This record gives sequence, C-alpha cells and structure tokens, in this order.
Amino acid sequence: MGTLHELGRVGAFLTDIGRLADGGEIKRFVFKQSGRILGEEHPSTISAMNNLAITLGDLGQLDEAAKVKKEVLEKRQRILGEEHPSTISAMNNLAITLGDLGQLDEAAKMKKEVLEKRQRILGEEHPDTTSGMNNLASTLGDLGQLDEAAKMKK
Amino acid sequence: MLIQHSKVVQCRVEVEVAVPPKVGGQPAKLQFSRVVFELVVEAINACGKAPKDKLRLVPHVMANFMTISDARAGSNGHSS
Repeated sequence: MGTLHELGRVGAFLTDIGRLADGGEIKRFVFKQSGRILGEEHPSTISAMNNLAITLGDLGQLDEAAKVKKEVLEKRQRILGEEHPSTISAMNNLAITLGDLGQLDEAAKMKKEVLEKRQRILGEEHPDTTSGMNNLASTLGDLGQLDEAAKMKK
Repeated sequence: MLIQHSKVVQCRVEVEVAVPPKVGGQPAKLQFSRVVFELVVEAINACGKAPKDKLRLVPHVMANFMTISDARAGSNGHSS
C-alpha cells in the first residue's frame, strides 16, 4: 500500500499547485486501486474517495462531487458513527458543495448541524469550530439572512 | 576476358526481440517505473516552495503516472 499512499500525496501535490485535472486523474486512480485492493469500506479507500470528491468540486463538477461526498458521508456515518470528527468533516464537505449547487436551505441546515456538533465535541475555540461558524455565516449571507450572518462573523 | 562471378553472401540477420525480463514475477517495466516513482516523490519532497520549481516536475510526474497505470493494467495489478 506504500505506493498508493505516496501516489495520493503526488495527487495532492498537483492539486495544490493548481493542476486540478492531473491531480484528479491520479486521485481517481488511487481511489479505484484502493477499493480493489483494500475494499470499498476501508478507511483509506473512503479517504481517497473524499480527496477525489474535493477535487471534483474544485473542478466545477459539482453534481458528481455531491454524489461522491454523499457516499463518503453515508459510509463514515455507518462505519465511524455520527459524532466522529471525520464524519462531521464529511458532512461539512457535502454542505459546501450543496451550497455551491445553490441548494442553500439544505446547505445551511447541514452546516448548522456541523457547527453544533463541533461546538459540543471540539469546543468553541477549536479552529474547526471557527471554520464551521464561518461556513454557516457565509450560507446565511447567501440566503439573505444578513443580520444573523454578520453577528456570526463577529 | 575475365568474368567475375559475383558471390552471393547470405547474411543471417539475428533480430533480437526485447522481452521484458521478469523480476519477482512482475514485468520489468513496472519495477523500473516504481524506481522512477520513488525519485519523483523524492524530487517533490525536495523541490522547495517556489511555484516554478514545482511546475517543472509536473511533466515528469504525469509521465511516470502514465507508465505506472499502464504497467499495472498490463500486470493485472495484483500488488500495491
């Protein structure tokens, strides 16, 4: 598995420097190989799936990104549980793509859930909690709830 | 008048067909591409933060990736 792990890092290297299509190609390969070798439910396969989904979103392939992110979330909910930080992270990722797709009510609902869980599990001061708050405020702003968004951003 | 008979020389041309040697049961192509892959990873880790340096690596990364994915497809990919 060492080669696949390294290959995943190479994919991340490419997407980090803006070579999204090339990075996405490598991430898709890693995901497929990981699924074949380790199985569809293995944490490394789900992680590879998550990485691919993020790049698909960055590439603007939002429908496919949302579909894959939903799958990641369902698997993590089932395998790791609702309260696991990786599950909450997957929910956050899906909510972002739903927002990008214009499904703002669904996105806001999901982001509220992410924020509530992070406040409870990680604490108010944790960087992920602050990030979750910022994400929710952004969607509330998009929904026209500007007062609430401004209050949250303060 | 001297008649020179041309001598027909038969040449036996031996063509060598390159057959990739098997190393540990895998085609050499996959073995070699793995070694190159290690060099690519090393180069990525050592290239620093300058975008120009990183971009220089992209063609090498993609060429190596193509070789790895092709070689895996050819060897049924039973290893990782």
